[in-house]
Amino acid sequence: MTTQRTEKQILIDLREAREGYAALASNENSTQAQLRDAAAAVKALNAELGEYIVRGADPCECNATPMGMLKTPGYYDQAKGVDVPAVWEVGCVYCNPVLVEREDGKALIIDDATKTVKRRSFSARATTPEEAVRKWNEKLWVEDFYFYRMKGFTPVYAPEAKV
Amino acid sequence: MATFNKINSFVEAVNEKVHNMGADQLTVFLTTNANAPVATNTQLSNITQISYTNLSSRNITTSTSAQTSGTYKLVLTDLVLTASGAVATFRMVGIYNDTATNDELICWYDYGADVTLANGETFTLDFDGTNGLYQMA
Repeated sequence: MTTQRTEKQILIDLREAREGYAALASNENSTQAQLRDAAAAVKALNAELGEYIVRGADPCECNATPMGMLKTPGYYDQAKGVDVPAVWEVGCVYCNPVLVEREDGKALIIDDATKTVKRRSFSARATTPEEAVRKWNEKLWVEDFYFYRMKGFTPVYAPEAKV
Repeated sequence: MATFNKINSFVEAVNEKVHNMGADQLTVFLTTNANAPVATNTQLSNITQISYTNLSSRNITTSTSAQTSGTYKLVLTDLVLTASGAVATFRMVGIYNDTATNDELICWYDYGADVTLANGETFTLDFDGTNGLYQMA
């Protein structure tokens, strides 16, 4: 019986693998094979971390397995004197974000009409991997205003939009 | 709104074995508006950076670098920069490959206004989660 490793253990191994790869990359005597193997180890650990995070997550509507990632590492906010928790994300790397109409959205001109919209990403975020999976399974998507990050879309703001 | 700007030579470098985006160490550089990067810059030595005194690590963590059905996506973990004292003013935030031979440049963002960090303040580089920093198809 194998025991699944925790994200902490995986992150430690990942850091070591990255350091090993960096050391090889900066050594002019390293062979291509050594570099290839070291890079493969880094990718494998990234994949293991992603699989760990998405345990229990339903497939995306496109049938792809979602990806798990540490979106923002936790840190100490000295100015506010608080620990800011890490943010984990479960999302689909294949489904592109879409615009959705929302009352608290921004006014954009779309097809010659003003619509109040947000950008919906097919991803869910929370402060633990488990909570991110729960929100993913309940389709509690991330919605934001990063319209300019949408591939092939240039937002045109309506005069009433506060940008 | 931080606007994304591509370094022209990146698209060639990434196709000529300069970068291994899946394992190389990507790192942030910061500049003032007066020393803003231009698309024809190619490597870090072309850039006049600010002093990084009192600033935390600028290393970025790559979450995934993979393709499916012919579309490649690079996904990065956000980077939280923390000041342990006053940090020089900056406006441009760029990314370069610290593992590549000449620290080749990748892209930069213009934050539209000067950013100052006092002791204890943080600045988060909010990359686009599973949607990725960039895609190639």
